[in-house]
Amino acid sequence: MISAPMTEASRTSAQSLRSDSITAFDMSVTADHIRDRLIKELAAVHVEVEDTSPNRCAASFKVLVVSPQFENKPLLQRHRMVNTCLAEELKEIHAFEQKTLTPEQWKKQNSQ
Amino acid sequence: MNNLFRSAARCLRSGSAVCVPRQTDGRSQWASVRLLCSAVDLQKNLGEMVKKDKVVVFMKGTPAQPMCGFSNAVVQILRMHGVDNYAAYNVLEDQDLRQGVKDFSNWPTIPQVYFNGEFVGGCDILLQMHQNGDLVEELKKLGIRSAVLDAEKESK
Repeated sequence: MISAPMTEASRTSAQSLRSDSITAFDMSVTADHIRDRLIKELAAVHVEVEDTSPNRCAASFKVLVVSPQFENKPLLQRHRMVNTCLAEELKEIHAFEQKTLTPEQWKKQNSQ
Repeated sequence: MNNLFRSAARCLRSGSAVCVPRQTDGRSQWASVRLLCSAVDLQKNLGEMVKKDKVVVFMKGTPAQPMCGFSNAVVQILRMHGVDNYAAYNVLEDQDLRQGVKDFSNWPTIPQVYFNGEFVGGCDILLQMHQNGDLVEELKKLGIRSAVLDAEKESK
């Protein structure tokens, strides 16, 4: 991952965005909540949710979703499936990173 | 008032069902018609904006000074491929644009990248396309030779 040099301006904007999102933050958006939803609605067989908030723009999550439903679907479509699944949550989350793999891709990645 | 009428008429002509006048008090009704009209106009403008340049990026900040790590990542990836000539729109300068582009692409986050008017994705997708080689191919379709190819040649 390319690391972003934090300029004075971006620090300030990150701070102001963070305080905004805290007031609007729905307490139900937790890593567990996101994981449950992805397992239930996308039949995910493996989910990793990482809270990446502290050093990023604001309340943020990084997810890895492994689901057979991604098979034969291009990347953009897979990401749209995750976005749709988490539409409510994404309104509260400021930043969101995702990686979407089929079980086969996941197995291959682990064996490397 | 005349002006309001014209903008309302324009809005109705564009076929937007949501502009049908409702039974509310006159003033707020006109205000909402005006608001909806500008939203409809913005969507139309976005359709033109993404087609005007081969590569279009909606981001936080500018390529010279990105204001978010994800927008910065997109700028750095494009730079690595020698793509310097692209249209970048700073959504932090325009709250309507910030929401409007999300509605336009039905994509919840910024940055957003478009090639030849078509939505490509956000930072994650561009990064993965960079890693798996798809980005070189997609740029080729746009008639852009990725600088990564030249770098590879030199190292051989």
